[in-house]
Amino acid sequence: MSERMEFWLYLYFPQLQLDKLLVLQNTTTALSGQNKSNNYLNLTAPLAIVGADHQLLQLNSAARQAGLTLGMGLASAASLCHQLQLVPHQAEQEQQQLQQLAQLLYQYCGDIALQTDTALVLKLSPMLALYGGAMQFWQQIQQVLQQAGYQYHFATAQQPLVARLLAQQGWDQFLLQKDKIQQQLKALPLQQAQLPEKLLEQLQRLGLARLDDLLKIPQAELVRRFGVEMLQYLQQLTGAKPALLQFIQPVEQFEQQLELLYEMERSDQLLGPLKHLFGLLQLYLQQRDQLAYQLELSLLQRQDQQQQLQLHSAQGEYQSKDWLKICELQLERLKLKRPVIQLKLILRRCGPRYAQYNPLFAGNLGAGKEQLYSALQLLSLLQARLGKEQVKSPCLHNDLLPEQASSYAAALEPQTAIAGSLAAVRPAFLVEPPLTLDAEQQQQLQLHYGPERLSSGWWQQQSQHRDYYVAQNAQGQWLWLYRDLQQPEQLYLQGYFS
Amino acid sequence: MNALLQQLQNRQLIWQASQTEAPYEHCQSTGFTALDKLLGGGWPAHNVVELQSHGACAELQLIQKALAGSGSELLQVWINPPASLCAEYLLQQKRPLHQILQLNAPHSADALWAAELCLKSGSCMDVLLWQNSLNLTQLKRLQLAAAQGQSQLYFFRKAQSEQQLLPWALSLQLTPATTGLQIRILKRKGGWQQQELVLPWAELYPQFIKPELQHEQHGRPPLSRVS
Repeated sequence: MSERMEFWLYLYFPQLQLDKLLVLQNTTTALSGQNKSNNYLNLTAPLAIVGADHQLLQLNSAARQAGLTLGMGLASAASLCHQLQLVPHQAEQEQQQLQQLAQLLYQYCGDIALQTDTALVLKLSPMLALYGGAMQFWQQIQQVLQQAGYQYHFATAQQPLVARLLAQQGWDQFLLQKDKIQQQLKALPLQQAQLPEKLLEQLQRLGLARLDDLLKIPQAELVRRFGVEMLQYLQQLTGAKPALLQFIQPVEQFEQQLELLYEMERSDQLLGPLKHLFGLLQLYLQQRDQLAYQLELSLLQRQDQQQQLQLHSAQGEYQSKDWLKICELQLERLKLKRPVIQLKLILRRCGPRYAQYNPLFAGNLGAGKEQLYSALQLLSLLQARLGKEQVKSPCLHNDLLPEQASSYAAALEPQTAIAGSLAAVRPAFLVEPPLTLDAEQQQQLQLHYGPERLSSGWWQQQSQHRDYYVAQNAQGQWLWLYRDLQQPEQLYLQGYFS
Repeated sequence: MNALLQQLQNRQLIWQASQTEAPYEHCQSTGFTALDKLLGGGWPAHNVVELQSHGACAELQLIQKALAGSGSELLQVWINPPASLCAEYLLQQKRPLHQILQLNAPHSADALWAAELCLKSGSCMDVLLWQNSLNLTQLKRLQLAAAQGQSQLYFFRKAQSEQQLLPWALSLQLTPATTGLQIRILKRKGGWQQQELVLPWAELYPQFIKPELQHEQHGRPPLSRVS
């Protein structure tokens, strides 16, 4: 019973590679605001995707108007339209696009299988109960497909093979009525029924023209005459044997590549394609309700060269615009060694997203203060432009000697408190290493406070005994000086009061 | 005549000297009574203040009380300080160390960018910037950022002989004198007199100069002969 309820949706994408070029060009020009003159592909002029056997596989509208048709040889195409632009077909890239699309659709449908002829098969029947109707479900799917911007044909049927035949024929009907589907199937010419080459020839010699003619003949007779191949075909057509499909799994890791339309020499040109990549990242993170903390961006260049950027966000971001801002700051500092031909974005560190609370009444002075960036966001932006090591917080170590006590730690990280009372007299700035003062400078000093004795390290080998003084020099500057008891004639300048 | 004046006044075309009483919308007390009086209330809030000096003459001490009074959950950013910071000093000022950021920006454009970003972010209260050159547009940008983020920028600069005419909300020149710190107003929004004040060292450095001892200390011989 459940067998009969099964329904499949077949989505066929006839020109994935060409559509990708169009989509990419739209996003790039939208951001940079102008069509680059060095863009060697003009998508409004005739353009064709050519397969390995020199046949035209995909054509844009200008090429169709020039009289070219699919499957035409290169020689005849060139004679019809001499300024035709050719792009080699990249089957691998198309499969990647298909995989991406499947990941997008996975949010709406649990069972999706990739097909080798640039198509997706979706198992409808379990989803219909969830969506409370076929049309609601179909609307969701249509929305995703529209956003992706690829051309597609579709059909529904109880068997994947039937749906495929109808979709490739461009039936474009979303129906769940068996009889109408069967009617359409029966009218299908045998040439388009995707029979094995040999069988098709034999059947045509017998004078069969449509699938209807074939289905009228008893199955047993056909199998006896044409053998196992015919049996397999008929079983798939009638659904007697379940289809062998491998359903996709959601990806564990975010890793996206993007081929650029043309070589980009300036880093600001990269922002358009990057926006596209960050958009995909945002979708990935939103679906999982996560935040990204660290990304790795590889800029692939000619001759297998590449430059890598590490993007950090201390607070964690998922929105495309926030990552774009961080990335923009890093790109400003980056000097491209060669033109970039490909971008690759990998998510290195992510975590769950928690609700963020902002205090409604923030303190006495912070009251009514609108935050453009939180402290952690600010930190990420500063680090992106200045470099990670240029942004730091001071920290205190448990040591008596001032040069050892004060140092720097990672920015904004809470530090362990150190017990004990603070020394009363300490300058704002420390001179490292301490400077020696010559005799003339020592003459001009005017003492104001001291001595304060620090004895340290006597429990180790390097013991230090110092007397500290506060003095003013001839220019009226306030200095923090010390005298080492082992060489009492020498004064050292260790800090400035300010 | 009076009618004409009245008309001009209604259209707010007349500036009256009496309006100079409170040149700033909000003031933050400096913590020093004499200085507050000189400045007419204190530091102009959410603005840019310039402090010119040769360094190491209590210029931080001057703003320290204002810094201590600002929001404790907000950051304090030090951009390009002249030497490394002493953590013990910062702790004396009751400021948690992890709320202090030090930025080193070798290029002045980077330093100004960072200052502007921090000022307008809304998560910083005070920004301290050491830099020597600034032009009118840069100052305007910083002032707008400070107003937007409701934060304060203290701009430390080497004392210069020739004066640039920049519309500072407040610009002070600090010169050390024997009795104390000489504070001269170079530029003040809405003010015109050149006023001066000498703030005694004992007020600035109470931790090691006791007022009653000050006189006696001046008589002491230089340090080299003390040992």
